[in-house]
Amino acid sequence: MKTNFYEFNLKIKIISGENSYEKIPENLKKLNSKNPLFITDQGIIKAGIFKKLQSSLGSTEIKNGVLFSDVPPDSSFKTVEKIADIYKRNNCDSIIAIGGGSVIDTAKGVNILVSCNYNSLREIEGADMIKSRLNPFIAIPTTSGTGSEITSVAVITDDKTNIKKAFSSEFLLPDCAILDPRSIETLPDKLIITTGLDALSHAIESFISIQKNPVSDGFAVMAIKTIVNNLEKGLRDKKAKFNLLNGSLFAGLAFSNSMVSIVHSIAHAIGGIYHLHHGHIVGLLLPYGLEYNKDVSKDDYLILSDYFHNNTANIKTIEKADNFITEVKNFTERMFLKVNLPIRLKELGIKKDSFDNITDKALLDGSIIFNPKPVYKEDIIKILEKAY
Amino acid sequence: MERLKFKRKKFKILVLKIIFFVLGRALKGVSNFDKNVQNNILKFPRPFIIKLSLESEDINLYLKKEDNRLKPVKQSDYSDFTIYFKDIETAFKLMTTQKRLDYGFSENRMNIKGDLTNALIFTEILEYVQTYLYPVFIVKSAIKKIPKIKIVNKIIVRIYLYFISIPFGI
Ligand SMILES: [Fe+2]
Repeated sequence: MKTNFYEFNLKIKIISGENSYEKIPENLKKLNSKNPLFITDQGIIKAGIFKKLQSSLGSTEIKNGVLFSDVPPDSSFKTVEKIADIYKRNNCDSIIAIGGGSVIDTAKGVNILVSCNYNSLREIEGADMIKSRLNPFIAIPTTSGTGSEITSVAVITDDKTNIKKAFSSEFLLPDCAILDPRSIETLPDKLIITTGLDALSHAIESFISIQKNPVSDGFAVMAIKTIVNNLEKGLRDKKAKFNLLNGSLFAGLAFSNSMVSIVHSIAHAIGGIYHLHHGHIVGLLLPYGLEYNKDVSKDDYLILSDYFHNNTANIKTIEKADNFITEVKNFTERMFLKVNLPIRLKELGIKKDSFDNITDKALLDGSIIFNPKPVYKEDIIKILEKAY
Repeated sequence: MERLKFKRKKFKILVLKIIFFVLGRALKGVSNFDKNVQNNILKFPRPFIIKLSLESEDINLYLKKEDNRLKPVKQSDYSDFTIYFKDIETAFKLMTTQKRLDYGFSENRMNIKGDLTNALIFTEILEYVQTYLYPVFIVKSAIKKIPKIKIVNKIIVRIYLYFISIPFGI
């Protein structure tokens, strides 16, 4: 522990495995709700995932429901307000979100508006500003990366300013997270790799952050082990794919309670300017962020290096933190190359003359507070240059 | 059965009031001199009112942005950005450099109302002010990201803060 204090929130019921969808009616009943609003996007509809969910709820105690299926990839305050209106007009009493990070974050925003009687999220912007429990909420992730189903944070764009706003409160946590293999069957290879590396970074960054604690460390280690052992296999093997969904949830549990650090600060900044895939930038920057923190985090790296081998390498030969960083770099690069994704910032179309802008934004990103080592402007420039 | 009462911590309340008062004047003083602090203040939207608050005891510090300066104001009906300290011990420790600001965030000891990026800007400004106010041996353990300030400047501003800004509010 970096301080002698920690908080860890364990409020969510996790339901994971085959036929998990079928557990929804029972849990809705326990939550006292009968008329859920389903929130999803067109990708989930077209992939046939929603149909599978819908058919799994046949002949159960759920007789009614309302569907909103048009969450855009970068969800905004306007979308949230529109969905909240649908919820109210149809007298819904709970929310079931099925999708990636954007869908689940949108649902969290909707839950704030419908439970607290606000008209806009602008009224409640900030950290820990929600004062009471929200309405029943079930989250079903369909990507193995964001961990949004288990985190107390939502990121939604304010359409007025076009800036992504973060909301954080323990009341944003869903009541249940449902991990069902059917949710992830059709996830494309590139997304498996990028979201998987995002989750890996969540776990490693939480393990070195100033908010780390023994409980989150346990989940981080489980996440790292699961992701390292299953990411490559997940491209062809159903079981491995589902393991990744669990790995992403473990990583979410770790970073929701311990936060992420410099890798995510820079990735958020780049994402805000270039609209590239979040997991791709995170995975690409991860080894360089670790390198930067090496002098203060080497003891943590030593512990983690034990979990970074697919049980094939001789763990005893790994003696230095340096080797851990090299292992991570080899792993992330090998994974990217498997699905033909670039491994340099330059190849992503990032211009050197935007480094200044990226750096300014990264230094104002919330996660920079939790980096174990102080970060100055020139440090970020150096990291960007190394990854270029 | 016994009815319980929880005593007010009168001494800490008094000290915290004094610290808020001193901090307000010191912020104003530093923003008169330091370019980096001024640049940080410019990052806030305008008009802009910051509030630091220990709500349970109604102890508040309001700071108003005027161009690239911050100055304390007595009262305000609203604030654009507020840091609420959740308990008096934390407010006391954070403000007396007994606890690092980033640990205040990581231990979930504050509520933030408003855009979270403002919390980062304000933290950096506070780190400058603390560096001007306190000697190196205190600052080393109290601040995560110690600002790089020339020693001569530090001494001049420190004298100005202690002998002019804080006593006279200039
Ligand atoms: Fe991420």
